[in-house]
Amino acid sequence: MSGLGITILLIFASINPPAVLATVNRAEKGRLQLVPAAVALLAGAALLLAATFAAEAFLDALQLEPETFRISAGIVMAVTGVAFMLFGPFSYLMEQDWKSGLFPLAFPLLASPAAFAAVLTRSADKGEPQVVLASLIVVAAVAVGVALVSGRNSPIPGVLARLIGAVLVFRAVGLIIDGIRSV
Amino acid sequence: MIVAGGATLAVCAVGLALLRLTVAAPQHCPEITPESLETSAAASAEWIEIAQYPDGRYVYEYNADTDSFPDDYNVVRHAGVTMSLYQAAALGDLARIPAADLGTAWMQANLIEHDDWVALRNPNTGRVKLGASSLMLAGLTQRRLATGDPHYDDLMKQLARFLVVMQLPDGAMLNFWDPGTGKPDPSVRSRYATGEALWALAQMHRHFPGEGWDEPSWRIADYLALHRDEVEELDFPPWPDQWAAYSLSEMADWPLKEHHIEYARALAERFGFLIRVESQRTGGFINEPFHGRLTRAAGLGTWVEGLTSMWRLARTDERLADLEPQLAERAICGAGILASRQITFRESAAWPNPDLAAGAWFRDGITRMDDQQHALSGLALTEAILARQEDTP
Repeated sequence: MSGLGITILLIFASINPPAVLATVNRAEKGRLQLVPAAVALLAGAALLLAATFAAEAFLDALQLEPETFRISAGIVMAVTGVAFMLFGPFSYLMEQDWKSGLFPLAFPLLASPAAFAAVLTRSADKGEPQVVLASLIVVAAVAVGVALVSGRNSPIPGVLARLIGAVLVFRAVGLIIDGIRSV
Repeated sequence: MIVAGGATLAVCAVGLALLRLTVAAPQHCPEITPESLETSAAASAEWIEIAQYPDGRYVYEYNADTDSFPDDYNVVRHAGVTMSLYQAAALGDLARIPAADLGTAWMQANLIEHDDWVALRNPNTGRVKLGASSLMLAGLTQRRLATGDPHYDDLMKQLARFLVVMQLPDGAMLNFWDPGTGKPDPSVRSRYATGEALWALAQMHRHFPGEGWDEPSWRIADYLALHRDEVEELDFPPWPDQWAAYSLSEMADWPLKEHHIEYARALAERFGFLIRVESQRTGGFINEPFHGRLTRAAGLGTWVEGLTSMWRLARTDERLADLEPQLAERAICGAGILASRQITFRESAAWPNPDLAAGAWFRDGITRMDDQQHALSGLALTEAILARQEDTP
């Protein structure tokens, strides 16, 4: 898998689109409205892009080498993945207006702690352009996808969310090992 | 929404704080200049010289809390300390040779002869341990590198022949020669001695090419790269063996085979990780439970030795060239940590015995001669990396 492919997979698994969909389905009576979806897309992307561009300064401020940060990022992702596997999608109350696009859609569903960890570590390791592209692709796809298919009462997103949680754990363990095995 | 958002943020903040206390603790790499590095290395060499008795032995251990010298000695470490002085000489500090020669004279007085070889034995116990002879030979090869003086050539070849006697068919080295049976003890291998012997023999091939010292060297190198960790049941392979790192660096232009390069890469990664972990250690009641105690200079020094060796290998063998910048960074970081923990001349005035405090590294009030040995080697070898960086525009 290419570097971009791995970055997309990491961000995708960290956001866990089926979990976002399941959360929206639990909270909303009907389909997610266009306005909160657009707000979520803009705010979620803005948060992740800000993290992408701030990665180097952030690690400098924390006095951490990128190789060491990989271990921390992997732990955040692994904990998130295990939470998805054990407990399924998170539950949040959502108001029927644009504000739900900010919370909980943009944060913490799209720009989740695991997604922040993913963009920070990939930006530090692989550079910003790749992570910008990957973040935009994944966040846009998730926001549009959730807006289109939400409102259907189905157990499938919950099952898929647990499955993607397992994928996230798998990738996170790889990241931790990579951090340990780096010079 | 505000309450839920606040609760979410609070959970995230707690998680981040936990990470910050543990794996994401700040890394400290004290700045070090070529001048301060040279000063630090010289101070550790001077400690060894001040701690040397007239018969060539060194103060084995000094307890500053009780201002006492425990009655103990270790012949392998004697050879190692002497080697580090010769190593400093080979790196340009020729003033270290008289003290190292005195250390060699003590070893020469404690040799055992058998067949066509000689070995260094412990005068108190009569034990003949491979590592002592390996490091004695390694020291003499460094001396020859520093001076070009062939005075010890015959002795070097006699020692090298002992090393070959101790080799097993699989390339591993036995740890003891038994004077009682007149044979190697077949039951004991050593995680240290095999790499030490390889480094000594590989250097013999440099000084005496065509005499066949490369053949046993290849067999040891293969054993270390392919089998050692498994056969000797060493946990978390690769075992961070700085002697193996020295050896691979010495053999860089033979050239190395692919499995040696894979092993070298794994070693480089391990040394780098260890330095990163050490850079997160600051001691104290908050840091220590999460990150462990500060590593002794004898341990930290070996990691810097390993990194500098891997750096030289990465500069020679393009298969490892991608690691060169990181290896340099980690080695400099390790050297900076070492220098920052050393007792300076000024600080030593407050110690009970300033002469044995200046230039030394203490833990729990105790310094041992191999603290200074490995720190000296690591610091002196890092000078080349800093010099290279100074030369690069």
